[in-house]
Amino acid sequence: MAVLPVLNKSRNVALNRTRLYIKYKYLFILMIPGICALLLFSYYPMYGVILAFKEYKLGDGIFGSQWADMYGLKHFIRVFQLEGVRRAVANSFIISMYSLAVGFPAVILFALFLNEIKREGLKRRIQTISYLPNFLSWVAVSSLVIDVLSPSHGILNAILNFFTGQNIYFLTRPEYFRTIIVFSGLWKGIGWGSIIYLAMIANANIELYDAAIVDGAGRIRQAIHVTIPAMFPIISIGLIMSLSGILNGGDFEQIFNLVNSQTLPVGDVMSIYIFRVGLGSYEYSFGTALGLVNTTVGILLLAIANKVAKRVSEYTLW
Amino acid sequence: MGKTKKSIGSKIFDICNITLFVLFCITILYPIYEIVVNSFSTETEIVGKGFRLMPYKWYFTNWKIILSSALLWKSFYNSVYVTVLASLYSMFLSATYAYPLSRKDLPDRNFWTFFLVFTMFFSGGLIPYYLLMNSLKLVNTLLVLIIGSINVWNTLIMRNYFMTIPDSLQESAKIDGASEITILRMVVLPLSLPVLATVLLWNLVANWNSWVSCLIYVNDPNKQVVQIVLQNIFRERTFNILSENTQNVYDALRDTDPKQSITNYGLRDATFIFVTLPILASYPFLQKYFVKGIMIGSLKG
Repeated sequence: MAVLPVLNKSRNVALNRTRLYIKYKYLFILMIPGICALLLFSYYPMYGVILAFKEYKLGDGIFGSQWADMYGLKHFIRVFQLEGVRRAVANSFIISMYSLAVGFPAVILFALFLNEIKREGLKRRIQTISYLPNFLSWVAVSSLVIDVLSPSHGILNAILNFFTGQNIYFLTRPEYFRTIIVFSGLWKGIGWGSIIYLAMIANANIELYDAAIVDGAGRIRQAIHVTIPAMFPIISIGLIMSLSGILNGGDFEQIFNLVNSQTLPVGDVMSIYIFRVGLGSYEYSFGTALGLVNTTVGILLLAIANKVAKRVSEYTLW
Repeated sequence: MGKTKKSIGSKIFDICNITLFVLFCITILYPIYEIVVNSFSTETEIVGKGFRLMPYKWYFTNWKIILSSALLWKSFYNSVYVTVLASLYSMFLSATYAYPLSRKDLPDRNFWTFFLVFTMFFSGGLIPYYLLMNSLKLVNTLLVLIIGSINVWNTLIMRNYFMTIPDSLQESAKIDGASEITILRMVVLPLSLPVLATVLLWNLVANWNSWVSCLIYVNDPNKQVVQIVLQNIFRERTFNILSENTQNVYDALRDTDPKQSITNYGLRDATFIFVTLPILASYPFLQKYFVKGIMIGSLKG
């Protein structure tokens, strides 16, 4: 030991690290399958984004293909020029904002009001039923949506017909599309989404409630001063996560199953657009460029939202 | 505290509150129930009559056609195969990656966590992944629906749970001469059954419900999953996915119900039940296990 000179410090560190890895070799053997899967299925496709800077030809592969014009930025320039992209960004933004504005408070209110049901058996039954749609696929849920809204035998049109004497084919009318998306999403996710808030409420300090009651607070004031503050951490984190997804414009699976040629002008959100253009029209390079812009913006939004959250509250993602 | 008398306003609030929640539950149960009723009804009845609790006339031809459809059974088999294997594959990857991450003494622990979590926020996107599958010759196979990257979220949930297991248990196993792999197998996994069961259930449901990969990577009509079959029936209103000879289906229907049209709701709704039955039937019994994992996962992100 004493022979090792001080100037070899960096080599020494590397040696120590190697020794450490050998000491823990079994832990790393366990990690090998996961590391391989990550490298092959997550990191290698990331490398494939250089496709966005190339002119992809099927025979040449990703690496053999020529670089695209304008210093390889041709496809990115198109991303910012195409009318279709602009429409997709606008549609995504509107649907995301709409569902954030309606869905986010709705889930919290759902938890808050469910918490006010004091009969445990009834409460548990309501919870069980409200989680159910979360476990159905969007294929199945949109079938139900199509059914409920059907002009020929849907229950909504039956009610409408009873009062107004007319039927509306909701799913072909662009003006109803966003509302259908937001509320069917809410219907599917509200119960399941409320679990986390209910858990926070359950963890709220019982002494605080007792203190509030001693101070003469009724149910409303208890909710405002004790229950809602107990949910703050999750509200903050949930908001950060939703803001980062604004450019996705809701769930691909949901919109794909509910959109049709009449509603495409309002339903063509980013994920649908990438799918249609990238795979449908075989524009691989352009589709990759678009995807890259999309994920980059997503990360930026996440970082910004996190930063803002740091300013206003102590609960952040990192 | 229980003695405090409730005010009138409070009582009215309770009644309204409960009524609203019950109405919400009806919006969930009614559409599903209606589909069950429709699957046993004739076309004339579905289109002509509105709300009914039972079919006026029990009609089984829809179900006979569905249950004798070779293509539908084939897709059912495909779905079971993919669901089971994909879930086990994903569980294996997550558990073997999560355990080392849960160990505070893992060298470069932060780096290996980042190596995992980074993939949740950034990805190559749809097209590079498609080209990768293409070059691996996996397009148009069922394998493409089974393999894939590690599920970051499930891995983090497992890691969080593993971290709650006292270190002393692992220490004493080590003193007894157990290797890391033995510790994982004999100490950590048996103590983590609640989280493993939850994550497995989530995996099973997610894989049963998944269809986007099948839509993108698989064209072969013999290699479709049930969700795709249901989607085709709902979107295209065609039943050629049920039988190579569509005319047979229509003939069978027309024999029993002269008013049959091409848009057959009864047949469609029977397919719906067929596809979602594994979930609808097991859900009431497994529901509590589904919820458990969320609590575990929320302990610390």
